[in-house]
Amino acid sequence: MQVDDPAKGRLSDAELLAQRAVRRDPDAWGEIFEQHYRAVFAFVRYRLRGAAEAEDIASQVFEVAYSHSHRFDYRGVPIEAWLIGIARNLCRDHIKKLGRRGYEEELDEFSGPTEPDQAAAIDLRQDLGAAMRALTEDQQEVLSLRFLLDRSVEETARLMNRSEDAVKNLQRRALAAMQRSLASQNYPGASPP
Amino acid sequence: MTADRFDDLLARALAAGAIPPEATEDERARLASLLQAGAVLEQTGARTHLEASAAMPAARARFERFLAGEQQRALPAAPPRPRRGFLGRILHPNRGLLLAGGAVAVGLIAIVGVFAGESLVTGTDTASAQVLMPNDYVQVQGVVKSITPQGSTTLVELQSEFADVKLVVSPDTSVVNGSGGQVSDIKAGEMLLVGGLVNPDQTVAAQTVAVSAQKQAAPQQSRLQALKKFMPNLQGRVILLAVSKDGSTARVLIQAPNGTRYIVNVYPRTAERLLTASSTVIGANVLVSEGEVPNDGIFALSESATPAAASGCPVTAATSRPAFVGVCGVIAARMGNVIFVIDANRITHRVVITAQTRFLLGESGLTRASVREGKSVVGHTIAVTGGYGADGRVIANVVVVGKLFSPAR
Repeated sequence: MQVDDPAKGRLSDAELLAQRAVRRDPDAWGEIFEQHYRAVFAFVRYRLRGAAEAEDIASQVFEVAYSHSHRFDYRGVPIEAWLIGIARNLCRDHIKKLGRRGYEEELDEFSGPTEPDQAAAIDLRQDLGAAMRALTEDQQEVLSLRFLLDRSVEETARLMNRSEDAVKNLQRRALAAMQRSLASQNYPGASPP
Repeated sequence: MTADRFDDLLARALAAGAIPPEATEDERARLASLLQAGAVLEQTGARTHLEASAAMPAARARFERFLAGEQQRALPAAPPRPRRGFLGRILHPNRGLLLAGGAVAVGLIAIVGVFAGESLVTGTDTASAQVLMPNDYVQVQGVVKSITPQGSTTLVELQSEFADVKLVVSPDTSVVNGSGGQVSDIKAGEMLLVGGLVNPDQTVAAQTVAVSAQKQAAPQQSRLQALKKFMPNLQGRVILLAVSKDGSTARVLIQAPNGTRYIVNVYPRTAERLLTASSTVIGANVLVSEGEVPNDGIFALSESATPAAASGCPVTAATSRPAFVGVCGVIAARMGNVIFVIDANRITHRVVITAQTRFLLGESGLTRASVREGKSVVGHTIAVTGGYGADGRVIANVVVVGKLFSPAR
């Protein structure tokens, strides 16, 4: 649906929602949360060390976005791109902080490799998490957007603020690095070429 | 084969799910390997969305609390009192009274200073400093004196039995009532039971707050004495429990029947036994006994008999006082940071371990290093103290891992 606005021309639903978000309309923020939480969670999930950390950082993304909403210029920028940008920065800060003080050993103990009697799917997620963290930030991002969030090359290019060719190139290098990493962990579905 | 051509072939192969027919033999081999990695990612993507959906209720509740806090903060503040000019302040009608009051206050401070020279544990601030050590896990109880919203958190001043304690209640804090239900807000005058971690500034980052339905008078605060030498037949009621971050030291505050309050350093095993006997140690009646090494200033405590079941858990009696959420049983499985505990009634509880969860591994034979290296915790008895997350899962604040479960024991 589109709405005629004599002052600003036609505004899309997304732009109207963004306008309300800038005004800190709680209902608008409720909608934004419902629309984007899963994507934000998926985006941060394998950059971090577990689902609990992802839950926390994904929640922080919305809190930071709300707090800084007066700075958001929604003209031409999808809300998702803005949230992904915040998520990227929060992950970066979080990883830096952990690097400085070391991971909490208690969490490490219980979120490390799952005990062998668990489903293979869990092992896969653990392997994947380790493999993802071995990639560069750009590579992690392109794989998260393309495969975990199921975004097209075009959408990924817009969210990463890059050309489509650059995304295709990055995607190839990222998949190759991921394949090497999974193969080095003897993951059965990723034999060396 | 150029990089651009291969990038294009890969993009098309991913979009179509099949290798384009014009790809050469060599390109096909490379594409197949990359598609395999892509398939692994896609397979995980579906599971990640399930995880995200499972995380949503708690995250939504957190965000709603955040929005409510922000809106509260945005309400217009009370207008500031008009500031008087210099002459106005000097000639204020109450000025003489204020000056006289100030002089009396200075005199009182001097007198108190002289008398307090020896008894440094008397002041409530000092008492707080003596028992609230940074990074400790503590259980404490008191009556709410004041509540100050601070952005997404709330500062709650609690009048406890030994000092005024400042609590930081965040959106992550589990606030429950006596029956374990969620409570939306905390009010002045309510009795709270708090479990949390001591911050460097001696505020307590509340992990779980249990609110009592019954209104109670604010407790009297009195001088604390550190128990250095064993006193036969010393009994008392626990008013604070503190356990260090690595679980190597612990102490309790007890109030003896004559009203004297003692700081008692106890063995870690004692803290473990108390936490296994009940998730809520505050209010337990204990008898102080001499430690393993006489005169080392560390003591053991025994609680009035709590029968232990075969699983190593106590048989708990219903109680009307506020209590933390407790789960006691045997670890059946672990998936990442979630452990599955089967209790004596064969009910399975999902317990979430967070970065703030404290572990006491004493009787388990496990060490932090051995668990990190892959030693299994499955089959060990466990006693969990914590609260409920918004999605109903138990969030562990402190965990006592016991011996391997043996039905014959």
